[in-house]
Amino acid sequence: MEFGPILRSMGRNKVRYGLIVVEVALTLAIVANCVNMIGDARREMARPSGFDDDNILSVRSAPFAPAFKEDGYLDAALRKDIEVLRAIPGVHAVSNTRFLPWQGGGSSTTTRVLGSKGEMLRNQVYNADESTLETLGSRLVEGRNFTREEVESDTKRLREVTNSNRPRGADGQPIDKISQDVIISRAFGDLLFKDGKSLGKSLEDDDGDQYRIVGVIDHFYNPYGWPIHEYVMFFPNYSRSFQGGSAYLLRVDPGKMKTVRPQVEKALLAANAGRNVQLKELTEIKERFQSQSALLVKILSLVIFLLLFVTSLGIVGLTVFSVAERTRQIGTRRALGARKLDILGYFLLENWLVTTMGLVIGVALAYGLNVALVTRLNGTRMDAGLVIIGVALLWIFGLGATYFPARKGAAVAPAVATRNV
Amino acid sequence: MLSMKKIQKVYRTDLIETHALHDFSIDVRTGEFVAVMGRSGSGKTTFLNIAGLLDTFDQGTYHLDGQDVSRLSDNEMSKIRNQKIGFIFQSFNLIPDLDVFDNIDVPLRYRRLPAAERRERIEKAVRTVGLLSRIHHLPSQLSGGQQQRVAIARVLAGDPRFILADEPTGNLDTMMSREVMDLLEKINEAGTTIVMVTHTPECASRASRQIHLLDGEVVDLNALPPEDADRSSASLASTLQ
Repeated sequence: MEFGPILRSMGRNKVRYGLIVVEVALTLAIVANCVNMIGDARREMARPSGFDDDNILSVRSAPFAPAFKEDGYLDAALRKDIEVLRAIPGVHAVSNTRFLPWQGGGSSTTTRVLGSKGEMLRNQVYNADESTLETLGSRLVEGRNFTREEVESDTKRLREVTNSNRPRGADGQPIDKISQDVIISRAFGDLLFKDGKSLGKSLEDDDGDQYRIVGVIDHFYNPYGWPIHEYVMFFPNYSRSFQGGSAYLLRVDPGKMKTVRPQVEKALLAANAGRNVQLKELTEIKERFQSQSALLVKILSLVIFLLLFVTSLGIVGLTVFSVAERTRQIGTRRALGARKLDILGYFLLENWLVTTMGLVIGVALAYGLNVALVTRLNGTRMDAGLVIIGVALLWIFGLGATYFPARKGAAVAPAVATRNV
Repeated sequence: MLSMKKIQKVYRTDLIETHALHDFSIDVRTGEFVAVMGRSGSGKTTFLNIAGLLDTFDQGTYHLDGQDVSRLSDNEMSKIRNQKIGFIFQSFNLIPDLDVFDNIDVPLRYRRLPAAERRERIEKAVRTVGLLSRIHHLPSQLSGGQQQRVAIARVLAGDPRFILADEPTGNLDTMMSREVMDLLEKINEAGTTIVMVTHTPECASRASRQIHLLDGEVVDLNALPPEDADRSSASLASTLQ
């Protein structure tokens, strides 16, 4: 094996080989991370939300009648809406909540264990009423659900605090603290409490408001920009306003979506015509969200294909150029005793060394890029197996791209050595 | 050492056939230093290529060092080139990206010799041609004469049974040519057979025997009528200038 001479020869042609080394390194780094992102996207698309996705309908009421500007009118309209919706045959449950699964976002806040002085942890946060868990199809595994009374009383209390503009003390925190009972997801509980026992414990937010955990739901998954897909906190509150309207989730009996849906708008407008009504099935929302992931997968796949193609072309180009440039040198080597196999082996070894150098740098770059994606864009950590597969694939691509031009080189006749150009 | 009988070599294209060697026969004894001369197109290079197993021939027989090499496989020819024949080319044919050491090492690696033995052979050969201080220089850092001495060292390190030299002084000035010829003479005196193709009468005169080629055949100047011999001689001389 001519490792030494080839390496020394490469050292004397740094730019030519260096460019391919850089190309291979960048290819591995980008391809490995693209494959990782594709894996993430596919895994996320396949993850169950924990909700009865197929039977949930999102209803948005956007009022335009001036009467809706009155709090009392809004409250009455909300109660009427829930009553009307529940009365539709085939409706299993109705909830007033701003939570809408599968839209690729939502609302979030930061909390920590009360008195811990620890790091504030980000989590999703949504209002819920006594029917929200039933509507979603979520299973309470510990504690209790919200009662209608506490949803009503908390709604009233929160509205008073909000209307008071929350005067703040010298420390910059609101003087009047809010204290609420909340329901969280088990995953969030496990994150907060190492022993997993969260029931009855309390959390606090930046304003010093406190949240006592009274219930824990089993599975929750709602894709979000931050890695907080499984962390949620529901607080009791009816949410409605003139500007924001009211949001409802309906859970229908299995197979009843087609019959329920047309009745919903009709029933709501019959109850109060001073608003617009928008309906969307959760499956539509989910499909729309996942179509973005599917598009991402397609784009990343194209990037991978193009990168591998361009890198292979680069390697083919290097070998073709090397063979053409060294025709006489190959003839000389043949005259000095090289077999065709030795010439083929020479070019394959040379390109294997170039590829391997690129891959060594590429592994470091791949992990560097992955760390950046993990810390800045909430990517997932790359599996070592993925990098190993990437290295193996690029080795195969490199050798495959070298083989045919190298075979042409091996076919150079030894008599070329005596030609005087 | 080298015996060719009735060798025929025809180069064919779609349109024409060129008879490069026609009933070509030659015998070179072990230890001889033979100069092969002839005008351009006389078949010198074809003879050199066939003698060095760089090319095949159509008819005839060729025995090299007692072995019939007429119909060998490509790999077998590579092995004989590597172990029995040393080549010295007009353009030196050094590999530009490799230094002197690695250039001399090229044929030794194909022989699969152990690293320590290769090093020993290389250093000895470089010492013989007086370039030890330049052992890690690239060909581009050497003069033409030095490059040809490196090529000779490459031959010496392989310790071949015979050497084929193709215009070894063709690209050198007079002084360097003399140095190279001195080296070849010394190698021949040590017992190595040399066949040298040359245009230069001075170089040819250093050989123990001269062979003239004309139109693919060996010409015996003494056998020709005096006027033909003169003409041939003059023709050759004019070519050699």
